[in-house]
Amino acid sequence: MDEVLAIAQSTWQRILKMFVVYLLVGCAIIEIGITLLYDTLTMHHHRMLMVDLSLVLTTMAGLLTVLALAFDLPREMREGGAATLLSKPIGRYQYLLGKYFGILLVSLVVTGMIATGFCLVHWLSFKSLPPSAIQGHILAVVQVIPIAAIGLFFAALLSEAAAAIMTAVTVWIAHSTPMLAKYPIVYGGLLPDLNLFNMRAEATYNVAINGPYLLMVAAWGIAYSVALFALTALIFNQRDLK
Amino acid sequence: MRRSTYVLIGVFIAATVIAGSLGRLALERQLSIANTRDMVSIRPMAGFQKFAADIHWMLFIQYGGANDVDAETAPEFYRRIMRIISNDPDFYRAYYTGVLMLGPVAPNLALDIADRGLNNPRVRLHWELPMLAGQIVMNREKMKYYNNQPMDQQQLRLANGYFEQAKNCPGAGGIALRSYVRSLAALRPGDERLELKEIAAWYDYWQRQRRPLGYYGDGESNRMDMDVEELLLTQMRVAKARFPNDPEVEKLVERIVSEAFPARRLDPVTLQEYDAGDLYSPHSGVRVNVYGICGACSAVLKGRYCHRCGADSQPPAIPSGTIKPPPPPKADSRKGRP
Repeated sequence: MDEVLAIAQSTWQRILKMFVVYLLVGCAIIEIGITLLYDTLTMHHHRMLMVDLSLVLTTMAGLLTVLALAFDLPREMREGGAATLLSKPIGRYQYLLGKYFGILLVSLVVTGMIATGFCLVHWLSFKSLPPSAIQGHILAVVQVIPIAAIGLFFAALLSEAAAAIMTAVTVWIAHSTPMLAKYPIVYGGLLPDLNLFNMRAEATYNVAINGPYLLMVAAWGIAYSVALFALTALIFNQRDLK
Repeated sequence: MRRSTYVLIGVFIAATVIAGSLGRLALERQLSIANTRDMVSIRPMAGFQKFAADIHWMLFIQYGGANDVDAETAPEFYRRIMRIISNDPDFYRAYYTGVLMLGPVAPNLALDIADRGLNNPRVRLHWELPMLAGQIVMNREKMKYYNNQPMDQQQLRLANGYFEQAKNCPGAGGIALRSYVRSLAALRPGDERLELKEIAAWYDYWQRQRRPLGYYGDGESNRMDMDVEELLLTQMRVAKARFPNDPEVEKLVERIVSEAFPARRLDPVTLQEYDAGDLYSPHSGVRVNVYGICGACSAVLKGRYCHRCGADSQPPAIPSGTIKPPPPPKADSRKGRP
């Protein structure tokens, strides 16, 4: 476990030490605050726009952070860093697990900071914070669990650019899988449904998203990530590394 | 194969089955919360439909500010509204604005938008949308009426349905009820004037809503916070003012007042209430039946006893049990009486 944590630490420390991460988070929060000026332009729907934009930015930030992994892992394998690391008594799945936890922590920190910034801006602007908006943001933050697993899957198989593109495309398409809900195991088991985390409209219209739903979706995200991680590790074990 | 491979295969299968089951359960629960999700456009937009709707809303406002709504631009207004509500079917303001803007120019397009809103369980909670739709239909028929053309009964029933939906919505304004009864009036058979039909429709509605204890049926008056009785009276006052000395109006109003308001002291000309002791109506100056004065000194009574002469305005009540009924005659056999 120590090896896993060490790899995870090296990943998150490297990214979270970058000043640009905080600059981008700050820009996102400023952008959320700017929606206050859209009062007239939206015919007084600026609060709705603020919640929605914040959820969009949180989701995008989570995806972009995971894409960092899509570039990081193939580069390590290409440059031989991974092979050097794996020459030590570390299992391949431990290496992947370390990478996964590292990027997951970074994603949770980045999305969590944007969500917290939104809560602050909303409270200062409207002197209130609807529970549905908080619940919507919790879903947007938790969404990074399966997204990171998807990113890891492609990063372990493909080159940098291909992994990044495939991750983005899969995340995009994974919002349309509810139409496959009639196929058991395929839906939710083999193919992810990231639309389960999409309660943006409900969050903006103050429709309560209950706690059991949040827990159920989080449980699904974890179960799907475990399945995809196992598949990734199976394939990664068969790969020849430099 | 190594042992870890078997473990990974086992983990993969178990986690896939669990994720598949959890996913289906979560989807069912999601659809119970987001009960309008099936109305959202299925275009693959990575779940950003709501954000797209917000952007299109701002673009629509810009377009509406730059262009007048006329026969030429109406289809474009409609297309833009449809683009918003297909991405966010709960965007009530888009429906409302679309119906409001298109109603006078392209009523059919406006009604299409309204119908889509009324099929949405969240949007149909707003009373203004069916109200606007009903007015669009009703205005067309009223124009026919004022041009001495027959009104289309099917369209009137359609308008009546919209108004009924509007008046049953929570927080519905009084205009919804008034429009509903007006549409009922237009649906009444007969060739009499619409104004007379409206009075008769109000009377029918009042009778249907009335309950013996003075409450109105099915809680409608509570929801709308208005007095149907006063609305009926107002309708009659308006008719009398608009058609003074019209025998048909007078006859109908007289009948309704005598049947519906026998206990209310109404000035026969203006149907306004007058006060105790008034000899003449302060509203029209006509002689009225005096009430609430002392029988002994003609002072206006403030209570049961006259404040000027002390006379009791009510005869003393006989306490129950103080007067016993005479006993039935008994037969006296000793004296030989019957």
